[in-house]
Amino acid sequence: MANSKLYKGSLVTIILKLLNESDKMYGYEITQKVKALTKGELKITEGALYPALHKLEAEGLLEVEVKKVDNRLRKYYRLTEKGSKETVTKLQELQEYIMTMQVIVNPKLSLE
Amino acid sequence: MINLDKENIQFIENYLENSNIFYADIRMEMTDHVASEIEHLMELEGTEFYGTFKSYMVNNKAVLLENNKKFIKGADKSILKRLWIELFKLPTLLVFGLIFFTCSKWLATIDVENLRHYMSLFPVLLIVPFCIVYVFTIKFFKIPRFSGIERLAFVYMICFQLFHFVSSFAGLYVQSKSNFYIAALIMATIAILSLLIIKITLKIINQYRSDYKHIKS
Repeated sequence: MANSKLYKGSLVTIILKLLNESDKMYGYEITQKVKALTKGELKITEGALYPALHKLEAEGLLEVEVKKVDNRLRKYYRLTEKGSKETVTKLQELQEYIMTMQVIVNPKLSLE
Repeated sequence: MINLDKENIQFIENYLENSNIFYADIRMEMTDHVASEIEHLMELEGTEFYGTFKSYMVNNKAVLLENNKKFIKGADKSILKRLWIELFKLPTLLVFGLIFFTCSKWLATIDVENLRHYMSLFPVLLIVPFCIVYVFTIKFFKIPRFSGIERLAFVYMICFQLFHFVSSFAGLYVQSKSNFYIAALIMATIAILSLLIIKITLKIINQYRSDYKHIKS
């Protein structure tokens, strides 16, 4: 995996983006989805994921639903209205960040 | 697709509980994560449950225990954040003003000598409603050990020590009636914080009761 510190600041945006694309997701599903989308390049550890999910829940950006699935209880996360608005803002911020980095890393390309 | 049976899930849950992951909400989510990963590995490697579980735990137990600490720290932070947000809401400020006014009026009627006793008793008086609400709701609704609820009691106990120290110190410090407004200010602050903790306790308990209705104590 590439430098994980570079991804760390984007974890919340990644979670919000994934939840924005599906109705609800559970922790393990998020880790697997990220792994699949990035072809194993980015692996979110549970130590980073769950505290981030709990923080978003406490901030009212996510709501939870506990369901009995496959002989066990599973906690699903879903975006709230506030969470959907925050996703738009976070994605916009990330886009701007990527564009700024592009200007610094590859100035020629960004001028074209 | 391999699905673990009830006994396997119970085995994972018991293992985590015996590894000091004693909060039901944290353990529930961890059990699901571990079970999902074991199912994935069993399918990938064609292995049986106990062997896969054993090898998973050899590699990941330390990480899981570390995560447990992170979850608990997160619960503490979340409680303090809620308290901070509630503190600056308009109704809180109004109640604070009312308590301050009442305390000022009441303190004007007592002697300086008695102030010390009242000040040291004040936090003790305020812990009683919290204990009643906390113990009664937990026993009445048969709520299991949830991180948010138990850590809240922990936060209150820390606050209580602080309240007691500040209050007793103020009782000794305020020697003349002209300084009684300091005592009133401290009393109002302690009272409002105690009331807010009770309010947050009820909110958190209700939230857990609605989100985790499947978990039995």
